Amino acid sequence: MSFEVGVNLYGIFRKYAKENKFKVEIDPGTSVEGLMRKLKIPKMIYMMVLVNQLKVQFDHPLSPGDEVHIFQPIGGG
Amino acid sequence: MNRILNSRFKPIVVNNMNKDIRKRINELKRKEEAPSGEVYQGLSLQVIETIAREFQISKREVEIAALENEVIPIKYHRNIGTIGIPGQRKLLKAKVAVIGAGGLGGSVIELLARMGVGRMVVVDGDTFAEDNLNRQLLCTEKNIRKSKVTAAVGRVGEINSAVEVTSHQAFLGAENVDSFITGCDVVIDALDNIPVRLILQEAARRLNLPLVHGAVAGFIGELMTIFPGDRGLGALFKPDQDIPPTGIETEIGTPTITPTFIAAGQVMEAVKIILRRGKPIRNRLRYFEVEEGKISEISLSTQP
Repeated sequence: MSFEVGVNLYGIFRKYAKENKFKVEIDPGTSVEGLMRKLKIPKMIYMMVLVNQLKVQFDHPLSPGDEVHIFQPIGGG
Repeated sequence: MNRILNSRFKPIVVNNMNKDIRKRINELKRKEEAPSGEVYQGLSLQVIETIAREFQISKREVEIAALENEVIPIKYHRNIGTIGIPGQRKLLKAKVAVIGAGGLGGSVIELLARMGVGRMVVVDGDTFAEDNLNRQLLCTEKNIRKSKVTAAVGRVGEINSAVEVTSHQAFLGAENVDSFITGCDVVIDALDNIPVRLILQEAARRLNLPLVHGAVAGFIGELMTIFPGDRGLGALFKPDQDIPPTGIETEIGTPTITPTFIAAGQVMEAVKIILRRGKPIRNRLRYFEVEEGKISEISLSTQP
C-alpha cells in the first residue's frame, strides 16, 4: 500500500519540481535514494537530506507522513 | 586593617571621580538638533577624547558615563531612536567574540563597531590574499599578505575608537578556543569550514555562551543562533559520520553580496541577545536564497 511523504526543496534542488513544497506518493520500503530517483534528483557530493528534522543517509527508509528536506550544506565564511 | 580601609575608602574615591566625570560631561555637552527637530544633549568625539584623557579612563567608559546621565555621544544618536539610551549602554558594556575575520567576519566587525558594541575579541590566523578582494571588507589592495586581525583592529579604530578590540593572530582549535571566548557575552561564528565550527559550538556549549552561526556559498547563506542547550549544527553533522570540511562554496565561490547579507543577520542576532529583545532564530536553520529573495526556515530536531 503506497503512502505520501512531504518534500521540501531548496536552492539548486528547486529546479527538479514545479513546486518547492509538495506531497509525493511512494511505495513501502522506498529509501531517500529511491525518492530522489523518482523525482529525478541526482545524488551530489554536497547534499544534505533531513527527514523529520534529522539528518539521514541516502539509504534511510521513509515512513508515511515523513517530511523530507533537501538542500546543500554550506560552509564558507 | 589596610584592606578594610581600602574597601571603605575606595568606593568614595570612585564616587567622587564619577561625580567629577559627570560634572565634566555636563560642562562639555552641547545641544544638538536631530532631523526630527528634537533637541538632545550630545557629546562630540573630541569631548569624549578630552574627558578620557583628563580622567585617565577609556573612551568607552566616558561614553557609558554620558549615557548614564542621559547625554548621548553624537555618533550613536541615530541608534538611540531604535534601541534607546539603555540599549546603547548595554551594547557598550558587552563583549562579543568574532571568530574569523574574512568575508563574514569583516562585515560583522564593521557592523558591531558602528552599533557601538564596546568590546570585541577577533580571532584569525590568516593573512589576506588577492582572491579575498571580491568579498572581504577588511581586505584592500594595500594589505595583501598582511594579517587579517591587524586590519580588523585598524578598521575598528577608524570607525569607533571607543571600541576595545583584543586580537589573536591564531587559528581556532580545541586547544585554544576557551582562552578566546571565555568572558564574552556572545560568540559569532564567521569561520570558513565545518569541523572547526563544531569545535567552536562544543566550546560555546561548555562555557554556556550563545553562538551565532553563519555560513555562505554562492548566493546562498544560512543563519542560526545556538544556545548552550540547543542541538545546533549537531543536527546537521554527526561526529560519527564523515564531516565534510567544506560545503558547495569550494565549487561556486562566494560573491560579496551573500556574506554581507548574512553578517547583517548575525549582528542582528547578537544585538537581540545582548538587549534581550526579539526572538533569536533557534533550532531552525534560516536559509537565504539571496538571488531570488527567498527566505526559508528548516526546523531542526531538538532531541539529543
